[in-house]
Amino acid sequence: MATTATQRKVLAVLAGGLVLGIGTAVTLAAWNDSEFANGTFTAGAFNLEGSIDGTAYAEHDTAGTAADVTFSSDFDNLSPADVVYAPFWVRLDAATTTGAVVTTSLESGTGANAANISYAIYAIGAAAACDSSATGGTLLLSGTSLSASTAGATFTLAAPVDPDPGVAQKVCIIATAGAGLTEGGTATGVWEFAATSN
Amino acid sequence: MHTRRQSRDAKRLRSRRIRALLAGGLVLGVGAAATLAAWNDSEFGSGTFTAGTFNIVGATDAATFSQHPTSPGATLSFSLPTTAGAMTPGDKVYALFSVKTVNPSMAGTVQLKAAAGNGSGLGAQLTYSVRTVSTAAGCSAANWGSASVVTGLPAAQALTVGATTSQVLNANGGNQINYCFEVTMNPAAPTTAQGTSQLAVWEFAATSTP
Repeated sequence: MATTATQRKVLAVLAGGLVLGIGTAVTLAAWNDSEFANGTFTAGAFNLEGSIDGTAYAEHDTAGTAADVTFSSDFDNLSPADVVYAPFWVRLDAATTTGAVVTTSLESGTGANAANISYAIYAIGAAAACDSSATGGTLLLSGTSLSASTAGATFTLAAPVDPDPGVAQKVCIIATAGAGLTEGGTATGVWEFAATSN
Repeated sequence: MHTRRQSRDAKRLRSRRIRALLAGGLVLGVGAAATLAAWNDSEFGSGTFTAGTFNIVGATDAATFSQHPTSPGATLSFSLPTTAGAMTPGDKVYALFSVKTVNPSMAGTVQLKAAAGNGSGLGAQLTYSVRTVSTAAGCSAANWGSASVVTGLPAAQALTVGATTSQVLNANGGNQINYCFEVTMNPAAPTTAQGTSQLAVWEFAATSTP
């Protein structure tokens, strides 16, 4: 009789286990439904270009391909205390999708007279002349020689409005011959206008 | 002493009794047959078993819901702070996607999954975070700080990483979950990333709750 009771209990437990098993299977057999969503992300373009006449722009993106700016008369025949002026324009090209902050720096100063040329670079209005009045602009960079530099302000360029290129910023480079200018000696200064997207 | 006659009469009597009993039994049998031929009437009960439905819908504006059951699904309205369609390093863009069950539908849970291909192209320069907001207007740079952080959705994940937990969806559109996506372009993205793009797809995988 004890054996029969035990068997019944075992059977009851097995039956209970079976019920639990079915319950678990039902839970796993849930329905599924999905929603999908997407986003397309595109990186913008960013390119600064320069001009020595305010009209024709081109790439000068290494020191070796720097644009030769056009100084006012006698830049090739300087005497002590002479001051010469050269304009330069930078703008963001039409493909650029963002604005920029531009930092001006001295890349290099070479030649026998590099120590005898001081300079200052100003940001000036589009219609302003690049002459002695340029000192009324915003000082971007200055140096007591072509191997020295003192940082000034940065300037910003707004993002271009498609399909046009961005509005150009005119800068004026002022170079002054020092008292120790060596006769017949040359000097070459290279400046960098580095734009950072913002 | 029984005479032969008496003996014969006794046999006849017994025989008669037996026949009477048999006749009586026959009558009883007829009576039983008559009882079987009574009228019949039945009542029937029935039950119709119908499977429930489970269906979720999504919206990019928190209001206009529709079905997007296949990839790539609904196009999210990422709002670019600068020129439309282009990101620059460090840019953050925001977009909303809302899900709820339809009416009628069973309740369920929903889990965010990311497509494996999201990390190619510009995707390698992007990370994303997802929070929940109560209104569509809450999904913006200004309101990101007050959006609700969701367990299982860690911040600043690669576009290929999904959520590790799910959220509850009530039956019959009883609640609406507004997911706010924040996608950030790597501030140190190289110049070579310029002009590249990537389609990122997310799946909101819902499972019915029995």
